[in-house]
Amino acid sequence: MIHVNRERQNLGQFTPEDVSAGLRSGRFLPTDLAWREGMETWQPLATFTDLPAPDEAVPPTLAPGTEEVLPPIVEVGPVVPEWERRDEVGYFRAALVTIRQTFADPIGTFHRMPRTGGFLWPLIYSYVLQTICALVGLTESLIWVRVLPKSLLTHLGDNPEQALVGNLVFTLPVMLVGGLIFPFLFAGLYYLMLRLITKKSTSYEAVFRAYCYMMGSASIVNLLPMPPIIAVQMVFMVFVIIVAFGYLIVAIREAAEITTLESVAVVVLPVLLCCFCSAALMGGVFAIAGSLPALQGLGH
Amino acid sequence: MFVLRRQRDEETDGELLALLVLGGTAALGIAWLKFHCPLPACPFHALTGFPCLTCGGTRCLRNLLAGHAATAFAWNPLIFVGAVAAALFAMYAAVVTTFRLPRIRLATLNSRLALALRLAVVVALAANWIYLICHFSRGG
Repeated sequence: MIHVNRERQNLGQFTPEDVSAGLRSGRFLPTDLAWREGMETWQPLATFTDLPAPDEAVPPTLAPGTEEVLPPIVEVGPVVPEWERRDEVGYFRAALVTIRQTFADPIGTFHRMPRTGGFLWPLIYSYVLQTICALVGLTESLIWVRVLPKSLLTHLGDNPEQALVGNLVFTLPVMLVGGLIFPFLFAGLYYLMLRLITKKSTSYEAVFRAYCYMMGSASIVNLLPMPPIIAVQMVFMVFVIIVAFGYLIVAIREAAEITTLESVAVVVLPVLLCCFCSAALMGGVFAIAGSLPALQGLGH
Repeated sequence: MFVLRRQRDEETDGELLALLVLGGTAALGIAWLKFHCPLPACPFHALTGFPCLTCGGTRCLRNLLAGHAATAFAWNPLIFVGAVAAALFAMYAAVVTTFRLPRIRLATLNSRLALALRLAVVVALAANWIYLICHFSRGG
């Protein structure tokens, strides 16, 4: 596979045949930088003299009376998600459009997402969005405890406000450090599951990027004004898990080009079969929802 | 199968990344255990009554941190081996990144060997699970 880059923007990885055809069609420029396994540095595509010649075979002759069926013309649009074009369109707009793209068209977005391009910027996208959304969620909870009657907040003790502030002091470091670590751990887990279950040689980087874009976007559900009532938050937690998992299954399926069943196995099996994954998932959701005292007494 | 080679400029430094992630995970995990933070119950155990693949993992890590290797192994052999392997890898990563030494890289992996590795992982997971079911049915 050949990795192609234009003006520090990764266009993705392609087969030599695709690159050859892309050069002919204008999709790629001879000045685009490219790299493949074994090369020391990135080089302009013009220096790739060993690319296969474009298929110049004469199209098969049609039998008399049959209509010519041409393959569909595939439009090659701009790089998605929009966060990959943040320098062109601006960070704020790029984040908003990426959220819309991942929710409105997850199939197209993750199918076309560049599989390379580094870890840093997808991580920043995920980290910043998750942190902002979690802090807004916690602030909402603090407002809720002032508005709601105490009889609905018995699980937060005698002083619900103090309990939530205490939680914030406790969850903030976990959130700030965990937000940087969890994407790597979960992407690693899904990558191992992919290697174990499927025959696809998807890179860790591709899985990581899909995970970051999806979970970063999914964190906006925490902006919903959910009162810290235990029953409401349990329902909310189930909703968050279903939404996040549903979209994550699609994201991994498209990024790794596997079947839906394989993607379900990759995403769901670790949580079902592993205490640590389910603990991280539940802990994360509870922490974000600002109801950690609800976990007291559930420990084993 | 494995080769030793220098880190390329355009490559992601996998060892440094792994070192940071493992270090952060260890710090977070130790702090979590140290401050007796809440641990949610295992949903698989709650639903089926059987331990999951990583049940006993927390007790394994607690014993490992306390230096009780045999007890730690008995709680969950898979977590024990995983934790020791992670610690060894972190040491290797720390050495090669600090002294800019050549890195160990997977050169080739033919399909037969890949299949054998997959089977080995599945067998190890299954064996660990059977052990845990027996261990927990005896009352841990």
